[in-house]
Amino acid sequence: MATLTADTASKISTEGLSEFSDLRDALFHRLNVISAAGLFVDTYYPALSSSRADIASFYMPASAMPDGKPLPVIVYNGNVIRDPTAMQTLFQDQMPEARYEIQDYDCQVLNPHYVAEGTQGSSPASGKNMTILVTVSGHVRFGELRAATMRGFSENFVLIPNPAAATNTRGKHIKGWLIQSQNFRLVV
Amino acid sequence: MLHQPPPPTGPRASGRLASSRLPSRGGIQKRNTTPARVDKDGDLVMDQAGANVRASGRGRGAAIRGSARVRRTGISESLGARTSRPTRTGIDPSAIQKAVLRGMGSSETAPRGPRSSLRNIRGRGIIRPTDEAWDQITVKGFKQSKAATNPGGGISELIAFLERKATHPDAPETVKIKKSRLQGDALIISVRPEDTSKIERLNNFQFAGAALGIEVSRRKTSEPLASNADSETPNTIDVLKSVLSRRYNTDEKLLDLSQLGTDPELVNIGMFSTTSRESKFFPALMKICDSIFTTAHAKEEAVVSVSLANNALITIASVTTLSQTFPALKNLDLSNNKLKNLTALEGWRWKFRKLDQLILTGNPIEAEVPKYKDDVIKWYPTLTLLNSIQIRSLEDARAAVNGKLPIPILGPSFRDEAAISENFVKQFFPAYDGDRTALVNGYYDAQSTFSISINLSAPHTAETTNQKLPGWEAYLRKSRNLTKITHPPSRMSRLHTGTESIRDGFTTLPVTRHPDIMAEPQKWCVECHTIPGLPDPTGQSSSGVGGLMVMVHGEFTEVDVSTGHSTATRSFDRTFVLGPGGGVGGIRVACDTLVLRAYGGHDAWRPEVEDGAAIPRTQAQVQHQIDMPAGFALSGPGKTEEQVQKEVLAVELSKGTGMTLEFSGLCLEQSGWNLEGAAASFEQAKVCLHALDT
Repeated sequence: MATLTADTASKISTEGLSEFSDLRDALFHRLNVISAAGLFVDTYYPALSSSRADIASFYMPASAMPDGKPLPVIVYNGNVIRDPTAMQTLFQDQMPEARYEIQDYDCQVLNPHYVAEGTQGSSPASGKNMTILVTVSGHVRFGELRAATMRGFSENFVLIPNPAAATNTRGKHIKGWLIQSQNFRLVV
Repeated sequence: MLHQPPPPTGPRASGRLASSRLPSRGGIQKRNTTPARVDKDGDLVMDQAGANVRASGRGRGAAIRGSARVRRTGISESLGARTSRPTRTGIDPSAIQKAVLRGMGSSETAPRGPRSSLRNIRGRGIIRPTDEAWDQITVKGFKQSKAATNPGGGISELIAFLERKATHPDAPETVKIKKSRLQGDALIISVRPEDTSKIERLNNFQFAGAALGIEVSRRKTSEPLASNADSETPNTIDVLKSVLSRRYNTDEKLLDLSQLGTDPELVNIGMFSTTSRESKFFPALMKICDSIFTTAHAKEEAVVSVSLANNALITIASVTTLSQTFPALKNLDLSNNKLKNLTALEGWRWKFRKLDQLILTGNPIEAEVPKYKDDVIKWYPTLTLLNSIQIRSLEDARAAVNGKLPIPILGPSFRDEAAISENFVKQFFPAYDGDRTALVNGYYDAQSTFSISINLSAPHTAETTNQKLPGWEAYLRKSRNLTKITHPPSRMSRLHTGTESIRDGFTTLPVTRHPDIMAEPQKWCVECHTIPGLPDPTGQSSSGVGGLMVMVHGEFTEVDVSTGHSTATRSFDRTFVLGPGGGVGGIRVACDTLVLRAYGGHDAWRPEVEDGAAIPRTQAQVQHQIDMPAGFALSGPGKTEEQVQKEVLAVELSKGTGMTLEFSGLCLEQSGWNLEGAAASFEQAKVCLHALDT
């Protein structure tokens, strides 16, 4: 975001009259980020509760960082989860019923000019070529019992644009953002 | 259908209808004693058969009986039936329950509550002639009167008031209320039919400051009185209580409700003589249990097991109230019924959340749905025994009860790169407490972003529950909690970008003191891992450069600068993204998000397993100390090279397994002195031994 502002500012100074559309774009991008984060939070947690067969679809495909470390990174209470499939299987087969309540979320643009290696990215004006840091605070009740203890949790995500969404011309419903990094921690 | 159906005595219609006994079937089974229409709700529409049934408050609902001798049914029946399925007619199910129970009471007849649609139903068959000689009137509104606070709730005052006001001064006889009974907010009174209109006139009269609402809920029947057998029917509630006490095993905490249909006491009072009575029987029984055990705890303590075996149940619909009355039941026996598929059990899906043992043997479901167990196991995550076969370990069941996580809570996953995160965290928090301006200058740049959000409703530790929690005034105007802040300009302005804005953000937050991470590490949970795709400050790579995610959970106190005293303790979660940059140590903070919440302690991240135990140790990592005779496994006079070799192998095996040299020698002998083979057979043997031990 910062860069968008700085870019806009420098463009305004150099190109004069184009400022309004750029400012509008900048604002549009910022709102886009927040709505992307909001949509993510609104869909991911319900999936953990009630559509666990969809969990893996929230993640980028298993791949590796330049230094060979696996992506996406998934850490759950200190446990490193191997890949999205393992995460989904964990929830489908082992995790007790879980009811989440999101009490707080926040987001920031992490990289405002991000295009994944080997992809063409979306059009620069779309506001989709960036990565987003999402932080969530809330509580979760594990188990079947109504009286299950309320556990506070803190979780953060890095979302990256879904390359498939950039080339999605058929209007199919494809997630615009995918999890690249996730860390969940019970904190209360 | 709670009882074994009587043996067939002939063609359905003739044999049973002639004797006015209805064929026994499930409580809410459709009846086809006469051609019946089914309306869109699936309820029977019975009005076409109305000649025998004198009235029906609603278009449907009156079940047909073969003769007038059959007891009050009609609406009560349809209500009773409806309790076992979701009501779509807008009738309050709890009211129905009450009505059903009232229907069971010996002194009462069909539930004709004050609802207008159910009023003024006359001329039903009866059970208790004495009772039916009176009209029944519902009196409401007195709860709002001043007298309601009197001892006894003002009931005696109300009765006296009604009798006094209803009696005409010149009348030869005073109006007498024969019976009264409290039901919710209403007082149900019984009066002689000739007095009814006099009481009715008192509608809207003021009683101790409150207007009374008076409705006739039932008028005396003009039907012929019931037979002697009926008039001798013992008090149903007393019978049910007697049945319960007779069938309750104190030692086993077992309520044995098997073979109810042949229970002489129940048969004697004609409990199953009509579907109507039958459908009300079980809910009433449960109501009585509820009245005996008033708390959930008392019920859980007293009734651990229930048997409903041998009741010819086609579905659990007629006994579904069991799950409401005994939700914490541990053992349930449904054997030898007529349950034939999962639909028949569906009503109890996700019920009995503590069920440990379930018996479904002797039901057609075994043959008709061979895989039913898979579903039943899922329905009851705490179940360990199904049909007496262990289907889940006790630990797993317990874990399901407690909502225990399948993977343990581990210590921090700290996967640092060149100690960057470690150094950053050690420096950051003391600096945040001491000199935030220097901190911003040291780590943040024009593209860095910072935001703070407050989770006002976060769970907190029990110790703080009763204390007054510190307020959030100093933070609220800065909070970027996007669940609360929805106005786009506020969302924008609460994100700080660049050193200047971040410095402003930092320095206007209260002064803090974080615990020393070296001295009190338990108060901190710091995790980190590398991520790709951070902005490249050189602008060369659009796919970005590598960086570190640093997640910090901990606590701090706010400090009153003038006194130096701590004023409030809060918990925080802070996420940093660190990337290469021009700050201290060549790094920059790309993102900094801070979440504040009520103090929640630090027990949540205490590892459930010690680090050592979390990693299964392989045999290779464990070297056992072994007692070795002098010169063993060494060349010596009189030893062949082969012998030495064997001794060396035995030592190797003993080191790996912890077995004695003698045993290692035996194992090796068996495996032809193949070390790997011997180790493998040891592992197998160990598994077996372990299984025997436990």
